[in-house]
Amino acid sequence: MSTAVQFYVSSIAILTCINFIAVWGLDLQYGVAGIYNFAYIVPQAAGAYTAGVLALQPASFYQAGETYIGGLNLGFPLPIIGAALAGGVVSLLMGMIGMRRLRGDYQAMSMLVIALIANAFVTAQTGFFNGPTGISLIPKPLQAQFGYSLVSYQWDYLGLVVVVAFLVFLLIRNVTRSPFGRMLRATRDSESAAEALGRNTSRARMVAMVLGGMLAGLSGGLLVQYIGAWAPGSWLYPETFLFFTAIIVGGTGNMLGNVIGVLLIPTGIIEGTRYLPQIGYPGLTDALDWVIIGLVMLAFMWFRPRGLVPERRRKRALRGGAVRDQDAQLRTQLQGHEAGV
Amino acid sequence: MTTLLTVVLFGIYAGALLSIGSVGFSMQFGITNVLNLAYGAVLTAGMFSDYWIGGGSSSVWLAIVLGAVGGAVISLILGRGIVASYVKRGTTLFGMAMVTIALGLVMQFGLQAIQGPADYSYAVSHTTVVHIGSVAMSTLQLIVIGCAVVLMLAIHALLRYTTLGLAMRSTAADASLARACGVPTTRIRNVAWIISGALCGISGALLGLSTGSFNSTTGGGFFITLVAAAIIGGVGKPYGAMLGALIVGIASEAAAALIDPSYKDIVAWVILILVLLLRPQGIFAEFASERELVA
Amino acid sequence: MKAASEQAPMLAPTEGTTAGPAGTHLLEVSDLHCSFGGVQAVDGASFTVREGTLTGLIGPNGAGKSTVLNAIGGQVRPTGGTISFAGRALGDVTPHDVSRAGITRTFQTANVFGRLTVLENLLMGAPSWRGETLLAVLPGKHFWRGHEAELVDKAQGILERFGLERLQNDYAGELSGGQRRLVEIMRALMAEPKLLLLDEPMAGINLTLARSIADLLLELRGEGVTMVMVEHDLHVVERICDPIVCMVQGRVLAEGSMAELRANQEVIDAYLQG
Repeated sequence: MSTAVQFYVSSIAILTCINFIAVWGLDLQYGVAGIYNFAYIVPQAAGAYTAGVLALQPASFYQAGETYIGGLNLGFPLPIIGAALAGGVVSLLMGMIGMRRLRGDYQAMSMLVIALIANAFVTAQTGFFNGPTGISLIPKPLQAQFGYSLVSYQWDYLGLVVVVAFLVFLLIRNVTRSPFGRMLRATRDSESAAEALGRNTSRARMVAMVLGGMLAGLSGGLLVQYIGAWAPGSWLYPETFLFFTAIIVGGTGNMLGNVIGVLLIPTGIIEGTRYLPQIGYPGLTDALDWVIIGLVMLAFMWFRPRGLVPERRRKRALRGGAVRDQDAQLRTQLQGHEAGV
Repeated sequence: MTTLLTVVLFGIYAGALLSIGSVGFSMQFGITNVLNLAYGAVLTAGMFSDYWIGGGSSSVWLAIVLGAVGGAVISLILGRGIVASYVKRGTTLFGMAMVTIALGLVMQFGLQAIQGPADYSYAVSHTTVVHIGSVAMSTLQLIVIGCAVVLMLAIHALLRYTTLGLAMRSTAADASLARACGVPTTRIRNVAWIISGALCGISGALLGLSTGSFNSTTGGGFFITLVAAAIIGGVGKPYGAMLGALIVGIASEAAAALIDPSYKDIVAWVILILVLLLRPQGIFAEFASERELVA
Repeated sequence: MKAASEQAPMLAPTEGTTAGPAGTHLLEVSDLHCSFGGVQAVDGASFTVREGTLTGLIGPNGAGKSTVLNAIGGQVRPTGGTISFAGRALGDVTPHDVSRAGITRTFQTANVFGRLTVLENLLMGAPSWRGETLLAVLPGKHFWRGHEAELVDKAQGILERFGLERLQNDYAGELSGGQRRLVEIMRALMAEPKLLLLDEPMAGINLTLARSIADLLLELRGEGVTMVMVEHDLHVVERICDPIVCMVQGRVLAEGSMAELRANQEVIDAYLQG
């Protein structure tokens, strides 16, 4: 492969793996726990900013007139860990505000408004993360270990991201197949019934919210350490919609479905068209990407709202044992009823 | 004193600008029970209608009329043609939020693809300055206030004194009961989409006139502020939306004067979140449960 | 099932009632008031439920029967009066606290977990346990496999008892209305509740199934399960409930056997013939 092709392939692979992490985290909230988090991009942004200011030198060091907090110049993996924690904390706050018992569309909308407020606030308050311009020139992690050659660094970073994504995969698989995951799904289906059966559903949903938020933060940290810059324009609310489209197209509550959704939507449509020859004026392809994404969402909501690979039914082997005699009569009655239905 | 007068007058102006769209939003939501997140895109389309039909005419009144027509047509297509079909298919409330966001994105970016990223502006001539006390306002701003007052009175008369208004109110209160009593609820919903679309288009045209220049994204942020006004007043209650618009308008002008102009929208949105936090039952009482969606 | 005092430390003891052997008062509702939006749904209702009984709650529409059940279950916060269960005060606690104290309920419109299988619905009926905490996630399967297997066994036992074992892998949301009610009852039994609240368990299902459910409730009463049932079908109530509490306009009008209620002129005027 030529250097350019290697660079293209590896960068798409890196972004795809980072999107796996982000979409798994969102699907934990949406597909498993039933939280309509239209502000999912906010913990990702929090992670990205945190990782950025942890990895950067202090603002005064660069003499570029930027203003941001932090600038601790920490080495790997501290910025990434900080990113995950920041994502969790921000999600906790968002959950305390936006996860009240509202009907589904209201919850989605109040989350959307939280995302807008966060973005507008960070833009207006230049002291935190350099306002509208954002932070840039974030040092790449493990440069000494991975080497300074551009292409070989790409492959090494891809290795790192793949390892992290695999760990996240194991974590979420453990969550969804455990009784804890079942409790989250039960809360999603009927909060009132789960409450009446002794489950603290608010706490359960908050746990899912924070866990998903940590994954969002983690993905943001990995992303910013790779692309090297982060600004309010990087986390506008349609980005969350992009993740939702990936989930709804691929399959809700199913990690394989999520993977397919990411490959089709963010990778296929956004990244796939990034290096196409430009048509029309600059920005036309971006606009058309979004039109296509919206149409894809509409099509799936119409034809296949549960996605290409829907949630797996958790079947169990039937018990072989015989039915107790004293209940045989009742059993016959009930089955007679079913036959009638 | 001048600051206070400025805040009040410009607050009333901002509230007037908001109230038109927010009453439309509120009315459509109350009657169809669909939270229409594509409303912002309809607003932008209303802004552009004058451009497409009138060629960027210099008349405020023509812009308003064309905005109303464009908004009404698009809203009817959107509501009757698309949203109602999804509702018939049994899409959940959250699903409808997703569908309307998708529609909004398709419209917004479709518009951007057609119009390009450049800014547009009307050739407005109504910009004579009028002094009210020590505050200078343009005639355009006074026209906005006047339009809002006239439209609010018209909506009030429609809801209060006409059979159509009675049918609309009864459909909003209990659609199945209204249908049982012989109200043609489907037709009423169509009317709601049309009226809300017309109000939305007028709101868009006035916004376009007021901001001077606009592009395909202008409607987005304004839409959320407008929703804030609608929700503060209690979604589905047109009178509440009028009051909410006034509160939001004055609060954001106060924020602009006292803190920084960039806080205008933030303040409106924060009020919205505070309402959600502090009065989740109060304002949302009648929407706390998942009401039936009817096509 | 552990004692309420161990399971629910958040419930403060009340004076005047004591939990005791069979036949004593398990649940005491006194002077209960509930109102929403200016409507007084429950207006000073008082009654007691003795241990081991199947108490029927009857009355015309709007009498406040379901609201009483919701107040006991913690779904509705009473505006006045007290509810005490096994000597402990309820009334200002969350539904999950109520459940942990040993009260399980079914809902007026069957409330199942639609995208969970029938078996998973039953597993959710068991009291919450360490496998359902986040801590169980990191160590992996071996941490919860043992108890999970016990629960599955118990759930399959209940399914077999109802003759519904072949439905175990069906989504509960895809069942018929009657089957959903059965799932709810089976799920409630998983908790081995001290008190089972049934909100119109036979509404909207066919007669054969309703009769089977009635038989089942009698059987459960024979096993010592205390139950309170709201029901409109007076024939069923007469057959299986004793005592019966008759509510009218948010108050308890009379209490006793069906024969006693039939002899009560007030009850006849307000409900039986009104």
